[in-house]
Amino acid sequence: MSKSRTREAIEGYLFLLPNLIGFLIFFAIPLAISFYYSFTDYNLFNDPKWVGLSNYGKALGFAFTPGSYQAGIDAGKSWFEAAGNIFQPNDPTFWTALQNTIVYALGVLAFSITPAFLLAWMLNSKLRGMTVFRALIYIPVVASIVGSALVWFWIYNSTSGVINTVVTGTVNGLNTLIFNSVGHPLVDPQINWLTSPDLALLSLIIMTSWATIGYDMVVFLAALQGIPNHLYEAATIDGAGRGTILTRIVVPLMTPTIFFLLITNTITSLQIFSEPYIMTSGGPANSTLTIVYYLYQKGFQRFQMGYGASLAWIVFGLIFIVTLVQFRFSNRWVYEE
Amino acid sequence: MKHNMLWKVACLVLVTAFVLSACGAPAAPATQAPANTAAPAAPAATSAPAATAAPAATAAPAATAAPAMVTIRWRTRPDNQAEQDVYQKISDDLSKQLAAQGITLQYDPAPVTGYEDKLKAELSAGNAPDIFWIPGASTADYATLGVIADLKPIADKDSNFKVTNYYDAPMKELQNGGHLWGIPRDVSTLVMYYNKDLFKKYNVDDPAKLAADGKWDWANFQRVAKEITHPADKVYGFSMSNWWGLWGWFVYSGGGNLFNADRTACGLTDPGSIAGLQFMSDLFLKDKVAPAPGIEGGPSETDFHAGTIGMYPNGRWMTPSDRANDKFDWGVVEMPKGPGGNATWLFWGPYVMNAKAANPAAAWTVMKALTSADVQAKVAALGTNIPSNKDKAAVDAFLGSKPPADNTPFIAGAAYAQGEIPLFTGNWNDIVNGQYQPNIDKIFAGKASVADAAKAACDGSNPLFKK
Repeated sequence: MSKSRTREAIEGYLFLLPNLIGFLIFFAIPLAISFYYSFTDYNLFNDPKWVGLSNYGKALGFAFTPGSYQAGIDAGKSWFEAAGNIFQPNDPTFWTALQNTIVYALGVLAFSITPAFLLAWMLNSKLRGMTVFRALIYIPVVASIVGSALVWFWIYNSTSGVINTVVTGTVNGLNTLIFNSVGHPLVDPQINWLTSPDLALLSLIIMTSWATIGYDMVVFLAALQGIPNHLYEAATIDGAGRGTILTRIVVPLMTPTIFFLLITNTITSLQIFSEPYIMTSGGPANSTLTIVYYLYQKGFQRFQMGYGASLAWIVFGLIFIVTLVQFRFSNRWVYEE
Repeated sequence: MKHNMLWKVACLVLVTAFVLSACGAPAAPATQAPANTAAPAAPAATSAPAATAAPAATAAPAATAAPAMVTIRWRTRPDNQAEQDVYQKISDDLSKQLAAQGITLQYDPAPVTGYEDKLKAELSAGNAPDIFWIPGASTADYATLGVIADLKPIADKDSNFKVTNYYDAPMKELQNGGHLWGIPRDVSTLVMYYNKDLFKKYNVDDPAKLAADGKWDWANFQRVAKEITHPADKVYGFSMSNWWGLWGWFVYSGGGNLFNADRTACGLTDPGSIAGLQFMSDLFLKDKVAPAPGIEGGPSETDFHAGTIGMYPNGRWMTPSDRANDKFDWGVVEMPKGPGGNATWLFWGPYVMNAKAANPAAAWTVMKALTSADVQAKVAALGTNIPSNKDKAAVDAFLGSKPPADNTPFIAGAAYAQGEIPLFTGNWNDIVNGQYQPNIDKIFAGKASVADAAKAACDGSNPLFKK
C-alpha cells in the first residue's frame, strides 16, 4: 500500500474512531457479555458460574411426566387435557409471557397498519385543513409513553373512566327510552379494561395501536405521494373507479411500505416493555406479562441475571426468525421495480 | 503538512480524553474521600473497634488542625420534594453535629420509580452509598447476597445502642439468624382510611364509633360496606389494590399465614388463609361492594381520593395524598377484627450499611444519628412516616401531625401487628409476586375458586423455598 493510501486509511479510521469506540463500549461489548452471562448462573453480585445451556433449557425445555396423565384422569379431566400434562414446561411463566407477546404483536399489527393505511388514503388530498388532521393523528407519536399511559389509565378506569362513562350513559339512555318500558332494562357492563385477565392485553394493544397509527400513517402518506400521477390518470382514462385504483394501483405499489412497517412494527411489538411496566405490572394473573418484562423481573428484581440474559437472547432469536420468515415470503407479495 | 499533522494529533488527544473520561471514576465526590484511609481519626465516642485503633490521632497534628474528614454517602427514597428537603436539612444538620468526629454526610436521594434497580446496579458496580434505605421485605435478599453488612459485631460493642428502642416486629426480623442487618428508618401499620362524608350521607355507622364500642369486626365491616355501596352513583363501600399487603391482611385476619411456621412452605391453603381469602372474594364477587382492584397506587386509590369509595386500607404513606387531594372529611380506624383476632401489618424499611463501606465505624455513627428520636421526630412531623424509634418525643411529633384528627389507630395496631416479612428461605419476588399474585388475581377476576387458587399458588411456590 502506498504511503498516501496508508495515510488516507489512517485518517478514515480516525474519523471512524469516536463512533467505533462508542459502539464497542455501549453496544458490542455489553452484547457479548450478555451472551456469555446467558450461559452462567449470575446474580449481579457473584462471580458468574458456567452452567452451559441450562438457562436455555429451563426456558424452552419440557419435563416428561407420564404419571401426570393418570393423575389428570383421576382428577376428572378429559383424556385430551390429561394428555396435555404429560409434557410440563420447565418454566410455565415463560410460555405465558411468550404467548402474550405474540398475541400482543399480532394485535398491534392488526390494529395499527390497516387503519393507518386507510387514514393515509383518506388524508392524501390537498383539501384545506388536511395538515391539521395529519398533525392531530401524529401527536400520540411524539407524546411520551409514560404520559400516554397515565392518560389511558384514566380512560380505562372502570368506575369513572371516559369509556365506561359513555357506556353507562348509553345504557341508561336506552333503558329510559326503550328497555325500561318493556321490562327488560340493559345491565351496565362496567367493563374492567385493565383489571380483567380477559381484557387487559387487549387494552394495551388498543393503546399502543393508538400511539403507533400516526407514525405508520405518515410513512404511508409519503409513499402515497410518491406514486406518479400519470398512473392514476392512465387508470382513470381506462375507466377504473376509486376502488379499482386502490386495489390495482395503490396497494401493489404500497407493498414495499407495508412490508417495511410490518417488519419494524413486529420488531418493536415483540420488545414491548413500558406499557405493562407502567399500567399493569404484568397482571392481572400474568395476562399482560411479556417476555421483556419477564426478563426484567428475573434479572433485576429476582437476581437471576444469567437467566434474564438467556431470555433476552431468546427474544433476539424470536425476532430474527420472524423477520427472516417475513423476508423469505416477501417476494410472493412485495412489488419490486 | 504540519497543519495536517497538528490536526490529527489534536483529534487523537481529544478522542483519548473522551475515552479516559468515560472509563474513569465519576467526578462527583465518591463514597470515600481521599482522606478516608486515614480517617479513623475521629474517635467517635459511640463507636467501635476502628475508632479505638485511631492511628491517625497520633499521626496527625490533631490538636491544631481539623480532623481528616470522612464522607458518608447515604440514601433514602423520599416520596415527594418536601420529604426530600427535610432529609437534606437533616443531612446538613448532622454534618455540622458530626464534624467534630470527622464525619460529613452526603445525601444522595433516589426516585421512587426504579429505586431498587438503581441501587442494585450501583451495588454490582461497587459505587453504592455507604448507607441506604431498603424495603423491609427486601432485606433478606440483600443479606443473602452479602451486599449489606452484619452490624451485630459493631452494635454489641456500642453501649449507647439498644434494640429495644425500636418496635419489636422489625427488630425481630432484622436480627434473623443472630445478625443485625439494619436499623428501621420508619414503620407503618395498615389502617382503614374512610370517607366520613359518605358515611354521613348514607347514614351509616361510623367505623371509629364501632371500634370504640368494640364492634368493629368483619360482620360490621361487611355491613357498612354494603350500606355505602350505591352502584348507580358509582359509589362503593370498599376498595383496594391487588398489592400483596392488602390481600395478605385478609389472610392474617382470617387466622391464616402467608407461610408455614418456619417459612419453608406456602401457607395459603391453611383453613384460616382460605377463610380470609374467601371473605375477601365475597366482598368483590358476591356482595359487590368493591370495584375490581387495580395495581398499587392505581385507580382504586385515586377513586378513594375522588370521593367515591367508603373505605380504603393503606399505610401511613397515603396520608400526604389524602391531605393534598381529598375534598371531603376523612379519618382512619384500625383494621376490623376477624376470626383470627386483631390483625394488621407493621410495614417497615431499614437503613442498612453497604458491605463495602470503607468506614463502618463512621457509617454506624451516622446510622444511629439518622434513627435517633429527634431526627425521626422531624420526619414524623411531616406526616409521611411513623417513627421506628419508640421514644415519646418522636411518637408525640407523629401524633401531632394532622389530619387525620386522630392518629392513634396507626400506633395502636403495632401491639398486635404482623411485621413485614423478609423471606430468608426463598426469593420474595419469585414466591409472592411470581406465584401467589397471579393466582390471587384469578380470585379477584372470578377465574378460580379460592381453594383452587390457593392450591395452585402453593403448588407453584413450594419448590422455591429453601428447606
